[in-house]
Amino acid sequence: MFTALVFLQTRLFWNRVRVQIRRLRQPKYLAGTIAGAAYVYFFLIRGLLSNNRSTGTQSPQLAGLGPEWATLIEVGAALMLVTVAAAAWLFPTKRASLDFTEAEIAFLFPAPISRTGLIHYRIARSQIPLLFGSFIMTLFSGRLLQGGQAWMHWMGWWLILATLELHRLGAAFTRTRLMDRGVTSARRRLLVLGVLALLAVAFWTWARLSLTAPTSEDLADLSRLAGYLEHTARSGPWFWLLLLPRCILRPMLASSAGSFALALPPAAGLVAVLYVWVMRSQVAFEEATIEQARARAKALASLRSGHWQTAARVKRRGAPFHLAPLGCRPIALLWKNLISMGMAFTPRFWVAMAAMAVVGTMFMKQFMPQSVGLKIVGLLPVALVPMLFLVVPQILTMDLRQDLAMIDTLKTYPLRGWHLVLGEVLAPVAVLTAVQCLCLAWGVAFFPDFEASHGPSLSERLAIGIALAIAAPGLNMISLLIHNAAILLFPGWARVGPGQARGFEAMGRSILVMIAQITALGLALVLPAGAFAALFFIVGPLWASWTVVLPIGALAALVLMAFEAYAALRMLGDWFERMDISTELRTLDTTAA
Amino acid sequence: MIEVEGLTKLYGDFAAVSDLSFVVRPGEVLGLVGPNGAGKTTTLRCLAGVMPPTQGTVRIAGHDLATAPLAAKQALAYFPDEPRLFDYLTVRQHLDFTARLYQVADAERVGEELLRELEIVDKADALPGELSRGMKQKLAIACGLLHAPQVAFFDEPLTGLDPYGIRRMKDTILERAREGMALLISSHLLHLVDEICTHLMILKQGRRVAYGTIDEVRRQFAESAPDASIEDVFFRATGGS
Repeated sequence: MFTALVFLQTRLFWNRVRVQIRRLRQPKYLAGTIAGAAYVYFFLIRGLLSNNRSTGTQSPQLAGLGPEWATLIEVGAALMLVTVAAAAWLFPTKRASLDFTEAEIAFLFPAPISRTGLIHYRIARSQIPLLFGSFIMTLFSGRLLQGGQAWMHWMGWWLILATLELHRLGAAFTRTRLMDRGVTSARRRLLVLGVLALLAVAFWTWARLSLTAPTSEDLADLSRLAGYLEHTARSGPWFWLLLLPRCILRPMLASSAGSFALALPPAAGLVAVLYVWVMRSQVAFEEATIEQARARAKALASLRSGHWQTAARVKRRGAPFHLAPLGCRPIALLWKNLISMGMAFTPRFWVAMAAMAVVGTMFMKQFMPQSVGLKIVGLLPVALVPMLFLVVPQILTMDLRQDLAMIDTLKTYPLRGWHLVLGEVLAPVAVLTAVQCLCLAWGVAFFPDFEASHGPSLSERLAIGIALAIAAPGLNMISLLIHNAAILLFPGWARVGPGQARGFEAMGRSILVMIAQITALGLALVLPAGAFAALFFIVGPLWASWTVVLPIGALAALVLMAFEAYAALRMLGDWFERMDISTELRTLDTTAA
Repeated sequence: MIEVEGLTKLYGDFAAVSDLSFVVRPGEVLGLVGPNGAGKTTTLRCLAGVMPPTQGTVRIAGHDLATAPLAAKQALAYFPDEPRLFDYLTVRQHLDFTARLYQVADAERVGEELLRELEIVDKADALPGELSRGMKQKLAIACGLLHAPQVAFFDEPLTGLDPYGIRRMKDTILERAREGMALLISSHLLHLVDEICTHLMILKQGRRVAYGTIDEVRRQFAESAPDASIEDVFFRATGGS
C-alpha cells in the first residue's frame, strides 16, 4: 500500500517539474526563471557559500556581531518555540483535521488504507514542504547567522519544523480527544491558562528567592548581558522550561560537525517521542479533513476565477456615496472599487485616523514638547509620503488588476475603452491622493522644530506641502496607469488578483515587471520634472521667492502629467477595446497556489 | 434583432467558427446546439462583443457591433454559463452599478420589479458569497434585464439550477420573447431547445449544419419520421449515432 502512496507522490512531483521545465520554452517563463534564479543566487546562496568558506568552523554568530549573540539567539528562539507550542493548546477550537487535497480524499479515504496508514502518508508527504521550508530558512538565516555548515543548518531547520509539525498534530489529536470527552474549548483554555499562571507564579517566586537582578556591570555590554542571560537560563525553572526547545535548536546552531553529531541524538529522540505520541493519540479526523479540503478547494477556485476576495471572506460594506442611475459612467467603476476597498478606506476611517493623529500630536506638543517621540511623529510623514507613492500602488490593486479576470463581463459594458480604464484607476488614485494629502497636512503642521538654521519655517513647509499635494494626483495617476498598463499590455507577465504564482520564474517575472515599471515611471516623469526644474531653478528666481515658485512649478508639472495620463488612457483604452480575450485570457497568471 | 453575416473566428490557424450567417427577429428564440468544441460559446462571445470576430458582421438591434459598439452593447444582454458577479457588491449594489453603466433612469422601480419577479427581493442586501448557484443566476439575469435589452444571449442557462430554478428560467426566457426580445440560447440540453426555442441552429466544428424553424430542421433531417425527437435530429445532423 505504501508503495502506491510513494508512487503517487513521486509522480506528482516529477509531473510538476516536467510541466515547469516545459514552460521554459515560453520566453516569459524562461526570462522569469533566469531573473529569479539570479536573484536567489546573488542575494542568498552566494552570501551563504562565502560565509561558509570564510567562517567555516567558528561558533555561530550574527554577521558583524560577536559570539555572545549565539546565547541570545538560542534563548530567544527557545522562548519562541515554547510560545508556539503553548498557542497550539490555547487557540484552536476546531476538531483535528489533516491536510489532504480533495483528490487525495476521493482516492485514499475509500481505499483499504488504515487510519494509521493515512497519518503516515500525511506525515511523510509533509516532509517535502518541510525540507523546502528548511532550505529557504537556511538561505535567509545564512545571511545573518555565520559559522557552521549549510547542510547542518538545513538539517537543523528541518528538525525544528518537523518537531513543530508533529507537536501540532499531536496537540490537535489530544484536543479532539478532550472534546470527545466533554472538555469544551473554553474549559481547555482555562486549564492551559491555569498552568501558565502557575508557571508564572513559580517563576516569580523563584526569581524573588534566588535570582539577582542584573547589575550595572551585567548591562555594561552585550557579552556581559549574554553571560547573565546564559547563567539565568541554566538555573532554576528556566532550565527545565527551555530544556526541550534548546535541545531541538542545538543542531541548527551547531558550529561544527562534531557539535552537530552531539546535538543530533537528543533532538532526534524528541522527534521520535512526538511521533509515538501522535500515533497513540490518533482520533477520527476524516470529517473535519473533508470539510477543510472542501473549504480550501472553494477558496482556490475563487482565486483561480479571479474572485480572490471570496477566498478572503468578504464582508458587506456600505456604499461610499449614493450612485445615481444617470451621470458619468466611469463613476460607477469608481463607486464599485471604493466599495471593494472596504472599511479601511472609508472617509470615516481616515477622518478618525487624522483626528487621532492630530489630537495625539497636540497632546505630545503640549505636555512633552522636547520628547524624541514628538520629533519622530513629526518626521513620520516624510518617510510615509515616498512609501505611499512607490509601494502602495502595488498593493492597492482595486482596479484592472482586480477586474481583468472578469474581462468577458467588462467587455460587454457600453463604455469606451479609455472610460473603462479611467473608471478603474480612479478609486486607487483618489484614495492614495487623499491619504498623501493627510500625511502632508500632518507633516506641515507638526514637523519638529530643529535648530533655526536647519529646519524649514511654517511658510516654507506650507509651500512644500502644497506643491506636493498639487503634484500628488498626477504622480499617482501615472504610477497606477503604469501598473494597469503592465497587466493590460502583458497579461502573461503580470499577476491578476493578489498574485499566487510561486517559484523562481514567478519571482523572476515580478522582478522584471517591477524593473520595467520603475523605468517607465522614470521616463514618464522626465518631462514634468524638466518643466518643474526649468520653472523653479531658472525662471522662478527672477520674479518671486521659492515658496511661491514651488507650487507654481508643481502645477506646471501636474498639467504635463495630466496630458501624459490622458494620452496613456487613450492608448490603454484602444488596447482594451482591441484586446482579444481568446488569446489573452489563456496567458493570465491566475495559477493560484 | 440579431443579424449575423459571414461570422468567422480564427484561433491562429484553427477556425473555431466558420462563415456563420443567421437572423433572429424580435420574439424569436434561436437554440444553438452542437457537440463540445462546435464553437457555440465562441459564437456567443463574438455576438456579445466580448471578443472580436476575425471576419463577418454582427448587427444588434440595427447597430453594427464593430462600428457602433456602444449602441449595440446598450441593446444587448449576455449571460455566460457561470454568473460573473463582483464578490464585494450586494445584490442591490449590483443593480445600482448596472443602472449607472446603462443609464437606466427608473432603475429603482425596474430593479425592484425584477427582484420580485425573480424571487430574490429578500436577498437584496446579500453578497454573492451568501447566495446559492440559482440565486446568483437570478441576480445575473436581473442585472442583464435591468436596461430592457432588445437582444439577449444565454450560454447554458440551466447549468446548476434546481427544478424550481429551471422552471423560473424557462418562464423568464419565454416571457421576454413574448415581449419582443430576440433571444439566442446555447445549450446541450436538447429538450430545453425543443421546449422553448422557435428556431434551431446546429453547429459542428464551427460550421452550420442545420438552421431554420424547429419543424424545418426536423423535416430536413428526419423526413421519414416526422415525430422524431430533437435528439434524433441532432445525431443525424452531426453524424453521430
